[in-house]
Amino acid sequence: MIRLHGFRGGLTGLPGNKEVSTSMPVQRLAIPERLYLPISGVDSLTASIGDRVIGGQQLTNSAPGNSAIWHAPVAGRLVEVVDHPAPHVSGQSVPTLVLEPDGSDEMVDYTALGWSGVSFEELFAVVEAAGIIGMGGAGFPTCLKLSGAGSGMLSTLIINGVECEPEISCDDMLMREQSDKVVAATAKLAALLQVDKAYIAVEDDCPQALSRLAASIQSVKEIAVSAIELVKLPIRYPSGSEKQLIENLLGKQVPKGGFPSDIGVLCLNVATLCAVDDAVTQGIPLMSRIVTVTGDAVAKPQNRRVLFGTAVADLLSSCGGLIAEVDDLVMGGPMMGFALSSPLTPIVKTSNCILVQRAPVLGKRRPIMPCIRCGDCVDVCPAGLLPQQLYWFAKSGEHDKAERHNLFDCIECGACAYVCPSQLPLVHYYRVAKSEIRTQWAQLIKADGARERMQARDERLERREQEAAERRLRKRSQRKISTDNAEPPMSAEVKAAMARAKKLQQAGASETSEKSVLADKSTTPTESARD
Amino acid sequence: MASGPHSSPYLHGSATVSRVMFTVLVALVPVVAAYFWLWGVSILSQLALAAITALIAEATILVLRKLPVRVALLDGSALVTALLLALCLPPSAPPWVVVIGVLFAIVVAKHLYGGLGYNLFNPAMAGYLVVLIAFPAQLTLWPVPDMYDIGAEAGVVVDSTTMATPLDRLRTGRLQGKPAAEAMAASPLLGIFPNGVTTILALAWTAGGLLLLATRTIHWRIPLALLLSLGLFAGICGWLNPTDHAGWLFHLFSGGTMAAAFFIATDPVSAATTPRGQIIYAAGIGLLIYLIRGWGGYPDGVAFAVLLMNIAAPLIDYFTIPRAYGE
Ligand code: SF4
Ligand code: SF4
Repeated sequence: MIRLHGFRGGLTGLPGNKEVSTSMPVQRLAIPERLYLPISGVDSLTASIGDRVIGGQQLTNSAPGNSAIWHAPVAGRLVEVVDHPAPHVSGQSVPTLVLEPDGSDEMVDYTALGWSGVSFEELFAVVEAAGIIGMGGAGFPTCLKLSGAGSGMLSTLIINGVECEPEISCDDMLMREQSDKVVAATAKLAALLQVDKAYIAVEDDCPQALSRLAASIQSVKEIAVSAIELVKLPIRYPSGSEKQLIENLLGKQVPKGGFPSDIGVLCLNVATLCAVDDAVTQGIPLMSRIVTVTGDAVAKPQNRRVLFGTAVADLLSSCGGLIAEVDDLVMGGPMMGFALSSPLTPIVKTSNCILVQRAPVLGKRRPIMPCIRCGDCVDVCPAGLLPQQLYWFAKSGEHDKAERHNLFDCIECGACAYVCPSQLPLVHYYRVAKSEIRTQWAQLIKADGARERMQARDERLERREQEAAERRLRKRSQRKISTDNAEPPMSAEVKAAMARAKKLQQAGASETSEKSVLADKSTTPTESARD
Repeated sequence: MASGPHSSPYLHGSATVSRVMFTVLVALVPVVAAYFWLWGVSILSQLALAAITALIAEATILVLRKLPVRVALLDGSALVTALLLALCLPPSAPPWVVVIGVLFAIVVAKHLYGGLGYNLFNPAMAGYLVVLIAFPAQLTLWPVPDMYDIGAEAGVVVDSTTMATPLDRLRTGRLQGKPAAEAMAASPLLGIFPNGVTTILALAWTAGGLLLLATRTIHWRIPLALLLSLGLFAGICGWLNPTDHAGWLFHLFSGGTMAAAFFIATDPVSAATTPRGQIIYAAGIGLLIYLIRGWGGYPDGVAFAVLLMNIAAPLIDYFTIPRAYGE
């Protein structure tokens, strides 16, 4: 039996409210009339507008390792690319591919390798081609997680069945209904990675999932059962955050700026694990997910399996629609979710929950007071930061100080704002400051590029001068005009500048998954990889 | 002030500034009760005067600064400042001393520095210090409680109704070259001994402090570090030189030690804010209290010690940034 180590900070006693949404089995949502697939992070389309596509067909390409690939969730026609509200905290619209399903169930003929036939390198390729990213919230490309770990380099596999926030129950339902699959996939993956130990971690408030998983571990005969341990965690927010989960289970922290694989750990969310299993055993890419629809403003709170691209409005109406006035449609949970700018915003790979609460709950806000420096936020911060100082610096625009106080280690868990007696919207300030700093980086990079171009221009001018001088010399001797072919070597230099910019950007943002935020506005901006 | 942007978290705990402040007010009840028991109703009028002055001053300044008045008045912070200050003064303090102290605390120490949350100095201590320096005569003599049969109980004849505090006598004795024990022995206001007035007050402050700890209004770091540091230095000095020094128990239970440990040094706004920083900050106050009591020009050093460490707090914070996850 594992001895839990606990983790720093955190909150107990948050109202979980899981029972609200777990009374019904997970049902598939009917195919909506239109699917909206945000394509801001992708490289190119593999099909043209107007084409008919079939279920499972790859629609977009992306940079290697990015996994921002869309597959057509069903057969239909690609209608257009329009600007459409994105599921992002900024609420901005981004270019979005619109697919109109035609009702046929035609699908790609999937080919699968199977767990016994797949090698470690092939697993990487399969996961990448299936477009799998962390489904716990952060959306970090799963193939990148695997790439950090050569076969045999990992010692521990952690399957994260801890729901990241109150109210959300999609992982709970998945574990209840597909415990055999979760256990079998854990065993197969553990064997492939040659880890010493695999844990499936579940919080205390999921008794059904715990008992089903325990039974599955007993009944799945062919696996080396001793290697899988089911861990019951006491309820404490944010236990489901990857870094905190690792600290809790192993007593080790992921090094700053590093990845779990640096300490021999691979941590996958249960839904991500099931997606990997689908890709390996059936060749099916990631095209749908379970989404919790909950809150006291929706008629029938429940979990639904939803095709990517489904508008939140369609999902809500399938759950009986709204029965009360709401201030915000929140995507994600009550602690880390963000308000959507439009009910037409689509469900994407990281959308674990739609939370709708009656207006008074959100409306009856207490007045915001100045920070009284009580330090309550320090005591609960799982990242070990000084939230009140970060707030101070964020507010006054002292970005360098904010960075020195480790602003970018903030996982935006909201624990600080939860306890703040002054009701300060701390996380909002951090998000704003982070995005301002990122913009500064981007400008620096641009300026860097501009400097290069400037240099190139100077060199070019100099060269022209020289050439002109030579020409004059030659002219004098030969009385013959040579052509001015000093074509500026722009493209190569810009490329070099861009490469350096990219490196800089990675160096700056490598702490966490901010790269994806910079590159792809459609992912949620949380750095706490929960997948 | 308006409510904030619609941003996560959409859940919030029950903590509010006014709840924090009103818990502090409730925790002052044992102290007020002790004053009442010792000196009767006069303390109530002193508290009322301080409170009314504070509220009027706060409201006026808020109007002048064009800030919303109601929310800030209801947050209770001005009341806490006023009552803490009033409870540092002897019950015999003239009303104008109370008014001047409170006005300075609210107007200068709090609002000229930017208002709630921005003040560098603890307002109550700043106000106290101003009146202490300006009117030493009115503040260093404490009335002998009515219930004491003056002279009989302490075995000495006292011809006035006011007396110097034990700390003051200790200092006077030191200046006259008297041993510590002798200097203190003749006062009915004795600390640590049965019926010692100062001890009763110290115990009342402690009771309130324990209430603050139990309600998690304050953290144990500051009181513990302050008391340990003061006790340690007093203990060492008392052990090295028992003739001149009064010992750790005396120092912990006399003067403003307990008030400082639980109510003054724990004022979050002016204290250090990092966990390690708070320990350094409070230990610094403890040490300074002892240095000023032992060698300074005033009998009690609480206010000076707190204000000096207030100045150091931002620097302490800067050098005690905690280790972030994974660092
Ligand atoms: S909890 Fe709020 S009021 Fe207290 S120190 Fe943190 S930010 Fe300031
Ligand atoms: S939101 Fe950031 S600063 Fe606040 S508690 Fe979470 S990690 Fe710490």
